[in-house]
Amino acid sequence: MPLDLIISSASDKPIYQQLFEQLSSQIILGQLREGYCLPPIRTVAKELQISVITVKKAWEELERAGLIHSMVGRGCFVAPMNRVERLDKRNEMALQKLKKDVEYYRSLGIGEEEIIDLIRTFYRE
Amino acid sequence: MELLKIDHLKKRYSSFELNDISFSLESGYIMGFIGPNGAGKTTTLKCMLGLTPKDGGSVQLFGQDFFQNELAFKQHIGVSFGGVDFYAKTRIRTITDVVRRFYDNWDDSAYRSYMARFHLDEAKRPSELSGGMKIKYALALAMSHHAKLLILDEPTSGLDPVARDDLLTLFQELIETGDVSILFSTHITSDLEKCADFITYIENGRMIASCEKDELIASYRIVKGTAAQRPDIEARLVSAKTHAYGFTGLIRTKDLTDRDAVTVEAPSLEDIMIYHAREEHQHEKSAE
Amino acid sequence: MKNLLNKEFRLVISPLYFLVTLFGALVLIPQWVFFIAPMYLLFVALPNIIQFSKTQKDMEFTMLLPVRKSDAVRARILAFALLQTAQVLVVAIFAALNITLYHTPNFFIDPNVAYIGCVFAMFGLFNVVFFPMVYKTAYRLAAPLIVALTLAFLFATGIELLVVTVPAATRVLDGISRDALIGQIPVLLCGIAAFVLLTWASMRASIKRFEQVNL
Repeated sequence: MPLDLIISSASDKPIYQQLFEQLSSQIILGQLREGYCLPPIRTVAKELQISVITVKKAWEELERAGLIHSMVGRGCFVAPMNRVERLDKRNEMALQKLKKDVEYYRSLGIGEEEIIDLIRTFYRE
Repeated sequence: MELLKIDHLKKRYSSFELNDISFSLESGYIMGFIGPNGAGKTTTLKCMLGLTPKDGGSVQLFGQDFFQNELAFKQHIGVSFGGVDFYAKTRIRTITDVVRRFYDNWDDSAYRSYMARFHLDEAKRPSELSGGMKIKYALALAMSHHAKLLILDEPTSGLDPVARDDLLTLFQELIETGDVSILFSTHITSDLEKCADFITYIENGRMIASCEKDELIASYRIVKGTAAQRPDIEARLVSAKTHAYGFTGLIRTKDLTDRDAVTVEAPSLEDIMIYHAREEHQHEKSAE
Repeated sequence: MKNLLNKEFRLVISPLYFLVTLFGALVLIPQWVFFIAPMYLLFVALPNIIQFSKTQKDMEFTMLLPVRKSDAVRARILAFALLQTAQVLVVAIFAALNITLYHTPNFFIDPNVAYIGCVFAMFGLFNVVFFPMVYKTAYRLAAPLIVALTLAFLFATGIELLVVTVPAATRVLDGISRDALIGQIPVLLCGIAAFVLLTWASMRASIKRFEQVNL
């Protein structure tokens, strides 16, 4: 079960966000199983040549999202989850993002129907 | 654990003043100390170490006054001002043999392993070493007495990109265990984009910021717009550059509103430094 | 302090400088101005050592070590005082040789016990002027050297003139007879005391000034 992490410094997304998204999708898709021990924060920082704090922040976000849990002195582990829970998590995360996006569209003055149309168009592409 | 705490450090010269420099560093992190040449970085480091007498403020290490315990604390720090460029014609072996006697914690096997790792030959003399090697020898000396805090002044300037990358990788290795911290000054901010956890930024003797690097970058935005858009945002800009087709400026993220139709980008540390320097420059001009 | 002295003698003061003390052999010259012999140390060795330490950035090096600024000054002055003491000892050996070989009184001061005491005092005088001036800036060398050397020179000239012109001084300082030599022991002790006291004062003043220097 190798861990895949690819950081792009050209991306607009902050690095901790990139880490969070990559790990959370690997956890939700079941690529990283329950009980998998994540490498120590400082090792990840060294390997990826990013700052310790950045990795820490990503790990904290993962913990807040309930995807991992940390055990003092032992490290961070992928939280136990069954299929239903995984789906729930997936939906929850998608919803959160969607909520933010909808707010943004609303602020731009785009109506409900218009957004749904736009999404349909993009989905078919 | 708070390893180092600088509080309201002051130093007055006839033509320059270091004013209220305060920052702190925890164990296990890298702090970049940035600012343009002449901002007071080296002076701050020298005041911290007592090489230059300070005019005010305090320095704490491990929660205690540094100057009360100067000798004991100096056992736990490693210092380098731009690498080993002293005793250029003396063999490294001799220099090390002089240095090691000063440290209670000197670890000869650690020294040997660093020397081997850095491909440093003890029979050589500092004058025969490249810039990168000089820094590495300084680091080998610092790490061989198990320093908890490395204070490095401009360790990367003068190094080629390969040597710089090599050194930065080494820094991250050194802090991996979590009980070594590195404070290093540089004006080459790209060195810090990757590895630094915290940034302390000074300009013309004054503190601009001391915080997490990501936080610092997030608190500023680069804005680009047309000449027509400028008057609306002008007062909120830190400073701006005008070009024939519009302007580019730095703004504090909190001053940016949804109504601003300008192009917004994340700044680099260098951008933050450049625009602040421009601001400083404009202030001086208007004061004249 | 032991470590700093070790540094002084391993890195700064090459053992070759101890050879300079062999200029003390000049005391064997019959009929001479013997004060010139120990002055070579001040003319040749000390300025060279300080200049060398400057070009080798010794100060920068020392300040990275776990020492106080004051310790660096103390070690440097102590190392020089050791060198000066070695010089006096060498001079003393050759002075004894001079007296046993020639048995002839000198026109200027004889290479006797009082002379040795005066050499100590001369070094003390040099130290008390030289080091505090050097450590005022920690980089200017010429002015302190000129002033301190001039002073040492004037002191030596003064002693020589006294011996030649003032009978009272001649009685106290001159003479190589057994009785005269024994009678001069207080002068020697005073010279040593002056050397120690002046060097100590030099250290104190130098430290005080060096603390204020912006390195």
